[in-house]
Amino acid sequence: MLCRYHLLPFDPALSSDALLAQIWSKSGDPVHRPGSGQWAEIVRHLNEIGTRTLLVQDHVRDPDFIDEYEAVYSKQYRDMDRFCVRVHAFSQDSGGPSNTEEAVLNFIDSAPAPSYLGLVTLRPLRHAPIGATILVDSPQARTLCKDRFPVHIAGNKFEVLGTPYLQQDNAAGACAQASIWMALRTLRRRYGSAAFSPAELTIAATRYTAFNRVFPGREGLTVEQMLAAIRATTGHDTLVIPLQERDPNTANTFTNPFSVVERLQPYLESGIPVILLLKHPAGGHAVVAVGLAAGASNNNNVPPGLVVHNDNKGPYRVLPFSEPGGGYALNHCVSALVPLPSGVLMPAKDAEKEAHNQLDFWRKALLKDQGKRGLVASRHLWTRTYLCTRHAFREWAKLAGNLDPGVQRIYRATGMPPLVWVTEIHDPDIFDPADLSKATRLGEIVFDAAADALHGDALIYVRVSKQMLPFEAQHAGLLIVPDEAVLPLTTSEPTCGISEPWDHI
Amino acid sequence: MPFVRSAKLSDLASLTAEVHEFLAQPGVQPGVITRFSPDLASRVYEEVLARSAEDLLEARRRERESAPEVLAFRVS
Repeated sequence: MLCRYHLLPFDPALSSDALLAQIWSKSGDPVHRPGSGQWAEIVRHLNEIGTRTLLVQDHVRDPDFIDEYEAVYSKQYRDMDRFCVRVHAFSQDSGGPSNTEEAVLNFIDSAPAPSYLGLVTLRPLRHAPIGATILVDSPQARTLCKDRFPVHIAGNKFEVLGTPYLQQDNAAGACAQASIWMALRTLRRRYGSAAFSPAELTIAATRYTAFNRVFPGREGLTVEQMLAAIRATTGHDTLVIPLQERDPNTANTFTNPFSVVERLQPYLESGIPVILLLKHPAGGHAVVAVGLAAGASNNNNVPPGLVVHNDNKGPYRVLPFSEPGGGYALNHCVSALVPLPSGVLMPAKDAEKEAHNQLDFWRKALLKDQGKRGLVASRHLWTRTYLCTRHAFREWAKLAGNLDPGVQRIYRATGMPPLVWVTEIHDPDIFDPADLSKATRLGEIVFDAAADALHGDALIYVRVSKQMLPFEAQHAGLLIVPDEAVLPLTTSEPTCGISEPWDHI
Repeated sequence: MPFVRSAKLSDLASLTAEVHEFLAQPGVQPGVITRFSPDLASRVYEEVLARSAEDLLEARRRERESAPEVLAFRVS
């Protein structure tokens, strides 16, 4: 049996089309047309993440493409390949191209685990080559929504920490299915969901409401159908966020990109990908937001856009506030779909609003001289809200060495709901949005994510500290605990934030 | 990388002063958990936690009104 692995040094100077030709020269007859924009973006990304070697794997039975094949391509008369080519990226040098089994296996066996950068699946489709792809993110486009995916190669187990990407094939599915696929595949391990292919999503979306034939699925989906597909396949209880506002003078609708970032940030910080629905002059389109664009700082807390997976442009791209050149931008957003796990009844907006109310009240109550209550606002603070597992919260409490010992005991030992909304409160003088390892966290407010802000019993903890005040405090800090009691703190040194609140699921 | 924003502040003077008095009692010591009186606890809940109920209800009403338009939007 011939070796189905081939080594190819990655040459960043090579054009994407030339690289594709090299890959196919190792794997048989070329089936792709030159000029794939998505492939060009992937090659650019491979260069950014430090790829040195590509391991080309032939004859891959990719489960997502097999479903697409059975739903659509198997119907045609002429033979069509149903196997894919998978390209694995490594940051380690291979020492040159090689097809011998010994050289390939030696390379795989000796490659250190961190040198594995992910995989790209090439479908045997001329018009839409990019199948299931998972690559690590780059310093230029850091993501918040990602997971670890195991990859087995010739008896070795590697792992890639990334966000799945896929190009629509315009037959089994369109951008709607591709976007749902990317979002749900990212959440698959975390919430125990099964994996669903674009073809399966098309069938689930059109089970009760179809506006045209189910296949080919190039008609796209309405929001209603997208919700049906997500609910039917995974049980996620998707939150729909309208993002358009109405001008009171003209009654015209518009989208404020600042508001889009503000509304979506807590979900992205929670590691939950958000499907953005765009009303573009070229037609409705869906992309998946997976991170915040780099550029926020201590002086400017607004990121200049969102990092998105755009199935018809490429992975890890920045969606800016506006795009004078006519490309996609945040000001095209009409709504967002957040595939929340079932049981999260309180949206982030409600949690943030309640957190700010709590912060307002307890800061003033902590002030020593109540005559200066009206001046508390002069001490500016920054807040950061996310959905967090109790396990991640308790681990943070255990490891936060500066935390008051009484607070540590209560946080670690008292009962908590499985998922909570946490609003961290940070010292604006030293907080660095790009580095959560710095001890700038002055307190937090914690709500039960399964409660309704209107009905009460939502509050779990409030911790405020003297550094939140512009004047002297009555105590070092306060912890308000669930059974309607208060713990004055013995110390209130700043602590660090939680960078991956979705972990431990 | 997180995105942060300013906390908004407003006043709730009389209840704040009452809680402040409670916290100033000699029995309220660092490191020791102290219970609020049931009355004070319930008023703190009513006035602080539920004070934004009207805003929340109004926001929910607006989102309900826009729902049919949002659900019919098609992407491809």
